Formats: sequence, structure tokens, C-alpha cells
Amino acid sequence: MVHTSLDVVDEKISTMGKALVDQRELYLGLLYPTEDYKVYGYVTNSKVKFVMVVDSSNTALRDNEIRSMFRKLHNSYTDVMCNPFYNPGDRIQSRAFDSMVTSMMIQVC
Amino acid sequence: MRAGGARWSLPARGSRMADAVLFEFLHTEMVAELWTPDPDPGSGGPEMSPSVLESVGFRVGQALGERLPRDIPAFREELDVLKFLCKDLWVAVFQKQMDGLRTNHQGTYVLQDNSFPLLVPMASGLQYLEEAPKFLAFTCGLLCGALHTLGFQSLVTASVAALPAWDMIDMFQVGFTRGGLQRWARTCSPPWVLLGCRLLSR
Repeated sequence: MVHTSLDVVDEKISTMGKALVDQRELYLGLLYPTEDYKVYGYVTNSKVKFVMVVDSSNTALRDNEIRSMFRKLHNSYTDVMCNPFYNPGDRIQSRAFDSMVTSMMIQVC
Repeated sequence: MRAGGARWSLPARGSRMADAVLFEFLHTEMVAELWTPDPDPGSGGPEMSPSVLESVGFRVGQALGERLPRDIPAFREELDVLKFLCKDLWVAVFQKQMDGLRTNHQGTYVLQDNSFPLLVPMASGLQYLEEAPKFLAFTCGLLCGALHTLGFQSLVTASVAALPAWDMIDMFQVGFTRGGLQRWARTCSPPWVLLGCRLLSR
């Protein structure tokens, strides 16, 4: 499902590029809703794509919250990138990153 | 950088003055320690194998390329990326903007810096011309790394005409020799430093 959502992300990026609207949002919004899950997307300037899959039964999540969650994800990812012991392209093994993600998920559930 | 794992952010202008000097000293020591001259002098020009300095610069460039555009709206085209390099990246690292940007709209870009901060402490003019490339290796790597994070494969080369200025050029031709670069350079008005940066692919 995450892989299909990546296709939607690419589609959104390409359509955004062609549109003349000055839409420079990094946040892509709700990609597409399915029966059980909602999928949200976010693309950074370095073309790193974050995809968030949320249970549809959790209706309390608002757009702003999703945005702030992506923001936190982006910030943590940037911190991981700046870590000199991390080689770009490797699997992320930073404990700080993991704990941030876990705390975010706990907050939501 | 604040200690204790706090969020890193660009400090206020006044407190950045010490950063510039510290970076200059660090860079000088890095060059003294890590510079290895090209073992095969006949290999012909700026297409040399990446030195340790360039690799260090590359990794730093990758990190900066991730952190600096974080709050900027999405880049729409190549020119946006180059403008980001000239303005935001240069200001973040050297506290000044690049002095000139030219392009042929085919992947070739000329970035000109008339008073490159890492070369300013050396004599102005032609006296230390041979030494100058050492001091550009890190910066070449920096640009290459930043471009790499932003999705471009590039080849960055450097050339100095007269200290302390330099230019960045994205060269489209393969195998552009140092001699050729300097010949081209002399046709432009001095003083400047040439840094060749070739955008290979996205």
C-alpha cells in the first residue's frame, strides 16, 4: 500500500510542477482514502518522501496535526542526516529518531 | 551548535562572527593535514580523483543540503536550486552571497565569487596561485554534496585566476583540462576564481 501511495506522490509532484499555481507546499495532503486507512504524503526539497498511513477509525486527527507530525519527522530526519556517523542511504538506526517516531505514534493512538 | 541535543538553528548575526573565524582555522588545518597532491601529474586537469578534502566537503554538503532548504518552498526548477546555492548556502557557510551567476540554460552554470573568504587571508594577486586549489577542494565537495542531496549529479572543478576571487562553472564538455579552463578564464575580466561544476543528470 505504501508502494502504491508512492506512485500517487510522484503523480502529485509532477502535476504540481506543471501547474502554474504558485503552490510550493511541501505537504501533499491526503493522498487517497481507502476503506481501512488514510494515507498522507510529504516531500522535502531533497526529494525525500514521507508517507504516513493512518487508521480510518481514528477520526480525531486533523490536518494541522498531520502537518505538525510531518514537520517533526522532517526535523528529526534532518538531524539524522547531519549526524557524521550516519551514511546517507543506510537504514536509519538513530535511537533519537526512533523514540521521536514512537512518541508521535503513541500520542495519536 | 548548542550542546545537549537541542534543536540546531542558525544563531543571530552577531554571534556568527566567531563561527566564521573558527571555520577558517579548521579549514586551514584540514588542508594542511589532508591535502594529497594528484599522484599522476600527467592525468590532465581538473577531472581528478576526489581527494579526502572533497569527500569531507561532500558529506558536509549533503547534510547542509538537507538542513538549509527545510523551510524554503519546494524548488521548481534547476535555476531555483542554483539560486539557493548562491544565496542561502553561501550565506550560511561564508556569510556572503555569491557575486555572480550565469548560465547557458543547458546544465552549465558559472558562479562567480570576487572575494572568496577562504582565500582572502592569502596575498591578493598572483603570488600564491599554485596553492589556491588546495583551499578550494573542500568547497568543491561542499557544492557537489549539496547538489547531490537536491537530486543532481554534478562535477565540480576549481580554477583561480587571481586571488581572492573565484568562479564556478558547470562545464558540459567532458575532459576539460586545467589549461583550457585558464585560457577561457583569461578572456573574462579578472579578478575571479573559476570553480567548474557540471550538472550531469538528475
